[in-house]
Amino acid sequence: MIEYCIRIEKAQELEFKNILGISRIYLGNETCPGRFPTKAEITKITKIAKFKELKITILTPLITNNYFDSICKTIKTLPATTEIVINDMGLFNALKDTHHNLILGRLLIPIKKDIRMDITNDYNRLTFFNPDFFNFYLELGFNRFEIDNVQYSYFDTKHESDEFIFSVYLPEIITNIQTNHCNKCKTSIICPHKEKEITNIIYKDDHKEVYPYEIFCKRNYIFYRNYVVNKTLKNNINRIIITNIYELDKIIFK
Amino acid sequence: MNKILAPLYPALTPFISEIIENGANSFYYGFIDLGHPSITTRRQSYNRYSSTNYSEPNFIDKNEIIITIHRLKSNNINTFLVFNEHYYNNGVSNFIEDYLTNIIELSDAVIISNPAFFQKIINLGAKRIIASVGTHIFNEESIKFYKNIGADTIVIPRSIRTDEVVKFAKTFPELDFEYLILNDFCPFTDGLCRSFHGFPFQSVCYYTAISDKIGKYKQYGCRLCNLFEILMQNNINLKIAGRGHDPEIIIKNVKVLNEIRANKDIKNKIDFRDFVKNRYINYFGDVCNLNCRKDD
Repeated sequence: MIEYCIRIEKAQELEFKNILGISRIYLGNETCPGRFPTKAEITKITKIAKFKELKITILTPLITNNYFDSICKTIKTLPATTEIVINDMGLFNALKDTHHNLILGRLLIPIKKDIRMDITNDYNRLTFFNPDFFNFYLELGFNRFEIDNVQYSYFDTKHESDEFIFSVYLPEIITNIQTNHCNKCKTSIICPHKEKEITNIIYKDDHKEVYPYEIFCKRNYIFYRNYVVNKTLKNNINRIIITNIYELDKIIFK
Repeated sequence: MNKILAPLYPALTPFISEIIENGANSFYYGFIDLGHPSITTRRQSYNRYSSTNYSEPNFIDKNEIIITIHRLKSNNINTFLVFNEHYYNNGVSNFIEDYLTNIIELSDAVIISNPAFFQKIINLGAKRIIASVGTHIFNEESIKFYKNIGADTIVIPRSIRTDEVVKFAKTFPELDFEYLILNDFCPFTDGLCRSFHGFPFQSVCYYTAISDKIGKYKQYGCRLCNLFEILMQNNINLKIAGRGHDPEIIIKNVKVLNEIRANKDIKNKIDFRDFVKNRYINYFGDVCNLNCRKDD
């Protein structure tokens, strides 16, 4: 059975009315440590989630040194059973002895996400599935792996393994990240701390057979959107995370 | 002394002696087997270097690289095998054991991105492991993690500020750090870039249709101006980017770094920056446009 989740960063996003079918919240973001929720925000959102009978997963970002202590301190106040998505191995190293419900985030699972993937030769497709990789992280204590809803198939069907459990993020597929913003905005033109999102369509090609997706830029990352979910997901993909609550009604099950 | 680490690739091998004479202390190189392009050393796309300005960045003849390593060993020069692709299919284990084992044993270190392979490569005889810039290490706890699984050297992403790099080096004196310098090609963080480069069309970041927008992600520049504090830490080495680049550029890169490294007379940052700009103009005939992310 598939568990449907939404990613949020602020409490007011939970006021969005149409969240029928959602059973879990992913609280946080992956690319900006400056936007990690405070303890007070986590407490507030946890109360609302409890009232709405929603479970919570804490989504953590890549973390530069200047944010590390504050984020780590906040997370260590949470119960040890809290589900935490790890996108920085430094955070894993800091939490491994206290928190044991850890998920390997999509930034740490290297799969090719170029929008041109579906026009390449087979050898360029899906080269990420390697049991050595997943066994390594299972031995570290991770119990779930998270990937993007890329436009090609998730697994090489000859090599999939049911012992690895996966979640899939959509519609935003993050392809490139630039991290030189994380110095209190001193050197970045794109400010990650502003409340207003900066989303631009930066590329759209008329040759849709080559580039079927538009590319977008937001904060410090490039992404494309893939709204289509394979209806017949494999048994070991049992969680879907909608990256933006306002795009819930655009998801297509095919 | 801060070591200079230069890229090594087939087009550069005729110039090895000159590069060593001008100050390079070690070389890093890649090897691919053309029968298995998708599971070998770092290669975002098969046709990445389609421009005539570039040459093959990897060795494709195993005998050639073995002969070259032996030649460098006779000159007491270290070599590091690059095995830092982000993605591998499940055929990679056989490939490593069948093709790479003796190269791993010959090399002085192996540069790896994927932590799942650290122990495997150690078991195959690697003398040392270097955590590639693809591990995208941004904080001290990450350094501890990679040290715990076997790395004794960390390649620092370009996005880390100079003062943080120095702090890392002071906090972990038992480790070496590699500071990427010159030939800044990519505006994105290496370990977090999942696009193709140049296949079959141009890279996402350099495609002319979007370069205006991508330009707002400032590139890092040569980073010579940042070296004042870096050179005070003996466990930070200077890694010249650019496997497959024009050999003449790499030779100049080594020369300019060697001159900068050797100058011990300058004691303040302002004079240091004037000095490095002067040396940059001397070798590259171009004025620094100050449009890079120079750390203050």
